[in-house]
This record gives sequence, structure tokens and C-alpha cells, in this order.
Amino acid sequence: MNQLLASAALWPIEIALNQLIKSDPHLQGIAQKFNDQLLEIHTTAPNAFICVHFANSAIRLSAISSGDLGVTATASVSAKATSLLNLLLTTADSAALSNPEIEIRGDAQFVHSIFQSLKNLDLRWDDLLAPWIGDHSTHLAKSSSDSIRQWSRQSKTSVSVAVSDYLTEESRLLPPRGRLDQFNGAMDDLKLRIDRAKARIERLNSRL
Amino acid sequence: MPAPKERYPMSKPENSEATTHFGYQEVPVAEKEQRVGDVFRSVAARYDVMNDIMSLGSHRLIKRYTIELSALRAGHKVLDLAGGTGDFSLKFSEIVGPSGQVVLADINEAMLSVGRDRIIDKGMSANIDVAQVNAQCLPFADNTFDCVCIAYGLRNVTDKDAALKSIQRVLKPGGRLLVLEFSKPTNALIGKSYDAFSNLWPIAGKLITGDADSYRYLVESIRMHPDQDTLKQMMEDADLINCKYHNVMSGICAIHIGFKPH
Ligand SMILES: C[S@@+](CC[C@H](N)C(=O)[O-])C[C@H]1O[C@@H](n2cnc3c(N)ncnc32)[C@H](O)[C@@H]1O
Repeated sequence: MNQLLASAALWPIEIALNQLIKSDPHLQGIAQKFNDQLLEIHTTAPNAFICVHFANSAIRLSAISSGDLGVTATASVSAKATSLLNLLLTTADSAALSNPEIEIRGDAQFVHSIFQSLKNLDLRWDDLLAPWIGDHSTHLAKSSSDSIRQWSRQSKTSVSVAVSDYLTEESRLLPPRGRLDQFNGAMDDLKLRIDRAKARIERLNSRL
Repeated sequence: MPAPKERYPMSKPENSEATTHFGYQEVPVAEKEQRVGDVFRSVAARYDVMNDIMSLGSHRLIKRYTIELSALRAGHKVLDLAGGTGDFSLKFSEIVGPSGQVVLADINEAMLSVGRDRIIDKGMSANIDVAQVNAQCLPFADNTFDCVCIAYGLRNVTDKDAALKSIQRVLKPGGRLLVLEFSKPTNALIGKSYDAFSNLWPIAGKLITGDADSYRYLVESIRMHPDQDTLKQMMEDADLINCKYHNVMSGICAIHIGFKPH
């Protein structure tokens, strides 16, 4: 039952990835390069398993292990989910795969070349969205999000320029440090004299 | 390409006295094939719509899971037996690719012609052949296929043992048989709810196709089908090895797998 649920969960991901591959000749080339290879990925924390089968310029995702299927995987990678994500999201080169936290079994060369291909990818989220919401909506969503991003980038820059201008202007109006210290001293003195005057008034009051 | 008519022997000679079940009815063996043929001729045009309705769409996921279990690779030869309107063939064709081959085979010309049209419409006829065959006596050479898949088909076959033997013969050594079929729920509550739900199928059939009887047969044939362990034993008796089954949705369906020895 778990495998069936996993299959249900992997299905939309597989469709989305295959749409992406279909729409990008570079990705098609990568999928083609690994044709008929099977990569198993086990992660700990969280515990998960996924088997990626490259077949005819597409990929198939499954939660059934090659052992259960009675076939041999080209390679299998076991690691903490965070280690794998770090590897993909940072600019690490394939030497990072030699990390002792990442265990590779089978054809390590295959894993290295998948890793290299993924690192060389310049994924655009609008390509991912297009098959789902259509080219026009994607274009709209992309251009609005681009303008929001551009607007926020510009406003951030202009606000920080304005603040620094303001401070520069204002800093010319501020008194020099020495005069400020003098002023503070005079204020402290005044406060002391007021306190003393208050005390004297209280004492006089109590005598009346 | 029109489906060839009567190209292959449709039946083994039968003892005219012998009877078998057609749903809950006992009918002469020779008559069952004809009756099953009528059922699928009647439902062919609306078969895919009715499948979605009767399974509430879940048949798509179960089929996907079955395909995962097929472990097919590029270049494999696969037989989609009792393949009807070709759901499996279309998926198999993508996996085995141009170097592989899929044969969509069914006894019923009406189901096959819907399947063949779908395949052509999707532009996928390059590696899919269509053949009208009887599962009991397959017209293929020994050791031909890497995988044979029979989905929701075996319960309709008159002589299941003969079909399993015939499948074993056409499998390559090490080749795998997948049988997807309705089975016996492992949970009584689910079994009862499912029974109640499937009682609605003839009504849905009447409304959508104008034919309640065919869907009554489908319900009855499911209930008459051997349970998980009996089918596993039948596969072993047909000289398949390492036989096992995966219950799907608490045994409402089961996927049996067996291998031809090397
Ligand atoms: C319920 S349909 C299944 C179609 C398809 N496999 C699917 O999953 O959608 C059952 C099919 O079994 C076919 N069938 C019944 N008896 C058969 C036999 N003896 N040999 C081959 N096919 C048979 C019927 O013609 C029908 O198309």
C-alpha cells in the first residue's frame, strides 16, 4: 500500500519533469545520455527511497527498489537528505561526492556524470510552469514576478541611496561631538539643580 | 490495419458436456467465450469512460503501479494480453522504445479496434503490433517475450490453466508474467463496502451504455475469480517460479508476478 501511495505521489513529479525534459533539447540530451540506466537514491532524515529509470529521453520514478523488482541498478546513492540537497544547491564540484556522508554503490562514474549534468543545468521555473498553466499565463506570471522583483530591487537600491543621502545631509546639521558633550553636561547639571530645588521645597513644606 | 478475423484458433476443442461459470451462471464451456465476446463487444465503445467511473479513477494509479512492477527496459518485447483498448500498450511502448516491441493482443475485435485507433491517434503505432488471439493458445513462438502482462483479463478466460501454460511457453527464460486482477479484500469492512459499491456498476452501465447485463457479468466474474493464494498456486502449477503477489487497496485488486525458469 505504501508503494502505491508513493507511486501516486511520484506521478505528478514525473509528469512535470518529463514535460520539462520534452521542452528542452539540452535536458533531452542528458536523459538520452543516461538511457536505460537506473539510479537508486536512499535518504535518511527523512527516510525516503526513490528509483530513477532513464528510458527513451524520459525518466520514470518509482518507490520500488531494484532488489524487489529483481533487476540491477546502475548505481545507488545513500545519504542524509540535507547532504544531498546541499550538494545540489551549492556550487560544490563533483569532488564533493567523495564526502564520507554520501555512500555510492555501483557505477560511481555514472553518479558523477549525473551530478555534473545537474550542476550544469540552468533551470528556469517558468519552463516548469508552462505545461501546467499554459505559455500565456506563464509569460504573464513571469513578467509580473520579474517586474515585482525588479521593482523591489530598484526600490531597495533607491531607499538605501535616499537614506544615506539624508544621513549625509543631516550629519552636517548635527552639532560636533564636543558641543554635544557640553550640552549633555549642562543638561545633567540642570537636572541636579532641579532635583535639589525639589528636595528643598519638600523640606520647607514639611516645616509648614 | 483492420484486426484480422478468425486468424488464430479461438478455442481448443471442448467437451460439449462440460460447463463453466459465466458470472454466477453455469454455461456450457463452448458458450462462455461467445458470451464474454458479447459482453466486451457491447462495452467496447464506452469501456474507458466506464473504467474511470467504476474505479473512481483509481485504475490509472493501479495500472501505473503494475507498470512499475514490470521492470521493463528499453529494447524489451512485451505482450499486453487481453489488452483491450490498449492502456498498457501505450505506456509499455514509451518504455521499451523504438528498439523494443509491444504486442496488443485480445480475443475481441471490437475492443482491439478501439485500442488500435487510440494507438494510431497518439502516433504510437511504430513499435506496437495488434493481434487478435485467444490467451489459451497463443500464436507466438516459444521464448518470445521478456514480459507478459494480463490486466483484468484472466477472469474472463474460460480455461485459466491453459492460458497460464500458454503464457509460460511464450515467455523468454527469466521473463516475467504480471497478472493484475480484482481479488479478495483482506479487510472485511472494505470488502463489504466494495461489494456495495460494485452493486452500483450495472446501474451506471445502464445509464451510460444502456447495458446493465454486461456490467452485472463484470461484477459477478470478479466475485467468482480465484483468490490471491489460489491464483499463485495456479501460476506455480504452470511452471512459473518465484511467484508472489502484491495486494492493492487491501486486496480489492492483486498483482501477481511469476517468472519462467532459466
Ligand atoms: C476488462 S478488459 C481489460 C482490458 C485492458 N487490459 C485494461 O486493463 O484496460 C478484459 C479483456 O479481456 C479480453 N479477453 C477475454 N477473454 C479473452 C481470451 N480468452 N483471450 C484474450 N483476451 C480475452 C476481453 O476481450 C477484454 O478486452
